[in-house]
Amino acid sequence: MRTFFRLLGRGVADLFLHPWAQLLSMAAVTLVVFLSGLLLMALATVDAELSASRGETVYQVYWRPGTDMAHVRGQWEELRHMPWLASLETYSPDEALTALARRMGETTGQAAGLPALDMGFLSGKSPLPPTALLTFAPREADPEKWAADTQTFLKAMPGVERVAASPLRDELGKAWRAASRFVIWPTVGFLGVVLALVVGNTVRLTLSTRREEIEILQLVGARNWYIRLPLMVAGALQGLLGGGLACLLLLVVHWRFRTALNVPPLLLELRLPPPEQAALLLAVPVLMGILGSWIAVRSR
Amino acid sequence: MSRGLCFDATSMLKISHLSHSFGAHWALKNVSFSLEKGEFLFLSGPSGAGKTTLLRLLHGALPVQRGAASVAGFDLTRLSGRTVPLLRRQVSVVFQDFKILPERSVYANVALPLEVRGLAPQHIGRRVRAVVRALGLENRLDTPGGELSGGEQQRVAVARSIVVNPQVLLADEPTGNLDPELSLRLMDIFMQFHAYGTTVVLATHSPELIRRHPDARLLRLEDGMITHANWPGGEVFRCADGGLHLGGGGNGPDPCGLDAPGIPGGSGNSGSSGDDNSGSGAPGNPDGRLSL
Ligand SMILES: Nc1ncnc2c1ncn2[C@@H]1O[C@H](COP(=O)(O)OP(=O)(O)OP(=O)(O)O)[C@@H](O)[C@H]1O
Ligand SMILES: [Mg+2]
Repeated sequence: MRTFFRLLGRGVADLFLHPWAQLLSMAAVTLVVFLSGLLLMALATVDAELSASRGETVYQVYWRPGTDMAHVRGQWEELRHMPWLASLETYSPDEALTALARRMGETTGQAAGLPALDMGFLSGKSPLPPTALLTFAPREADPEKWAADTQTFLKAMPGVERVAASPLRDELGKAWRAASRFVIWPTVGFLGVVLALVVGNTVRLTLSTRREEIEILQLVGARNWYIRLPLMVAGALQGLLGGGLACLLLLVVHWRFRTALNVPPLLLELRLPPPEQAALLLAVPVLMGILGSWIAVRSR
Repeated sequence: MSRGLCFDATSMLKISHLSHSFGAHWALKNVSFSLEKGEFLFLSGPSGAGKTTLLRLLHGALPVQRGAASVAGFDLTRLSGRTVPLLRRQVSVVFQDFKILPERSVYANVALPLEVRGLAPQHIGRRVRAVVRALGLENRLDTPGGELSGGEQQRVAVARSIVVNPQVLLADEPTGNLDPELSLRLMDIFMQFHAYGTTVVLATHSPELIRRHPDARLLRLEDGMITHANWPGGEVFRCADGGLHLGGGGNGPDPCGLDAPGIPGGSGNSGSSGDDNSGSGAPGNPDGRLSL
C-alpha cells in the first residue's frame, strides 16, 4: 500500500522531470479539446436556435368576462411553471383596455392627427376579458400530441372560456428536430474519436522521452504495474489539466462572446454544450491519457 | 526437462545448444556450458563475437530462439511477462552502456532495484551507502547520473547491480572505462561476491584481467562460437540420464540427444581446449561445437 501511494506521488513528481515535453503535450491536448469544445458549442447553438426559438407555439387564453381577478392571477402563477414555456404575457381587463387604446391611438389617431384616445372613463368597468398569451418552445418527440394535450389542459382550467392556438412552427425547425438525433450524437462521437486518437497519441509520444527509464526499470526487475502506475497517473493528470484548461477557455469564450453574434440578422446566442457532452471533453482526455501511458509500456 | 536437455539441479546457469540470430546473421551458434553456484566465468573474444548477445539472452532481454537455457532456476525458454521481472531480481546485470538514468542522482540510480523490490527506505539507504562507499562514489551521491564521467557512470552501474546481492551477476565490460587501479578494486569486489556464492559471468576484452585470475573459468567466443575454454576442475556438462561427461572425446554421438538443426557456420570450426583442463571439448567435434 505504501508503495502504491509512493508510485502515485512519483507520477506527479515525474511531470517535472521533462517539463517542456509535458508542457508541449499538454498544450496540444488543450488545443484539441478546445477545438472540439468550440465545435460542440457551435452545434449546441445551432440546435438551440433551430429547435427552440423557431419552433414556437402561441396560445391565447380568454377567461369569461367578470371572472374573479384574484382567482385568475393565481392561475397565471401556475401557468408560469408549465414545461417548455418560453414567455407569458398577461392582461387583466384594465390592462387589455389600455393596450387596446394604445393600439388604436397608434393606428388611427396618429394618422388623423387626433389626440390619443382616453378610455379612462371605463377604468374598473372594462368589458374586456382577462387574457393570457403563452409562447411555448416545445422540444417533444411528438409535437402534435403535445399541442393537443396542452390545448385541452388550458381549456379545462376553471373560468376559461376559449383558447386560440397558432402554431408558428416552421418547416426548418421541424426538419431539424427530426434530423438532430441523427446529426448530434454521431458528430459528438466522431469528435470523441478524433479527440481520443490525438490525445492518446500525444501522451504516448511524450513518453518516448522516458523510453530509457522504462527500459531500465524493466531491466532491474520492476513489474509492469510498477512501471505503469506512475505513468498512468501522469497521463491522467495531463489529460485532466489539458481538458480542464480547455474547458476554462471555453467558458471564457462563452462569457465574452455569448451575445457577440446576437445582432440582426443572425440573432444567435452562443450556447454551452449540454453537460453530458461537456463531461466528454474531460473524460476522453483523462481516459486516453491513462490508455496512452498503458500502451507506451509494452511488456518486454 | 523436456527435449532431452541435461540440466542438473545444482546448476545456477545452464545453457545448451543455444543459438541466436539477428535476421540472417547468427550472433551465437550452438553454445553450451553450465556453471554452478558461486563459480566465476570470464567471457572473452573480439568485438562482435556475441558476448553481449549471450548475456542478454541470460537475463531475458532476448528470447531464446534455439536451444535451451536456465538461470537461477528459471527456464528461459518459458519466460513470460510475469516471470521476467522475477528472473531479473535474481540476475543482476552491469551493462556495457551503463544504462543509468541521467536526470536522477547517483543515490536514486543505485536505489532503483531495491525500490522496485519494495524495500523499506531506511534499509535501502543503508545498503546504497555501503555499496557506494565500496566503489568510491560516496561524495557523488547527489550528483545526477548525466554529470558523471564515464568511469563514474560505470561504477554506478556496478553499484546498482551488486546492491541487491544477486544470485547471478552478469557484467558486460565492467572495467572498460576504468583506470587500472579502479579496475583492480572493482575486480576485488566481484571476487568478494563470488566468494560469498554469487555466480559471476564477466565479459571482457582485457587479457590482463584474465591473466590475474588464472583459477577462474574462461570461454572465448569468436563469431558466435566457443573456440577456446579454460575449465579448471573439470567436469562440465552432466546429463540427467546418467551424469555423462562431455569433455572426453568429440567422436561419439551427442550424448544429450539434441542437435540444433540448421545452424550455419558450425562445421570446420572446432574448439581448442584449455591447457590444463580435464573436461573441455576436443578438436574434431563433427559440428564444430564444443560441449562444455
Ligand atoms: N540488435 C541487434 N540487431 C542486429 N544485429 C545485432 C544486434 N545485436 C548484436 N548484433 C550483431 O550480433 C553480433 C554480436 O554482437 P554482440 O554485441 O553480442 O558482440 P560483443 O561480443 O558483445 O562485441 P563487443 O565486444 O564489441 O561488445 C554482432 O555482429 C552484431 O552486429
Ligand atoms: Mg558487447
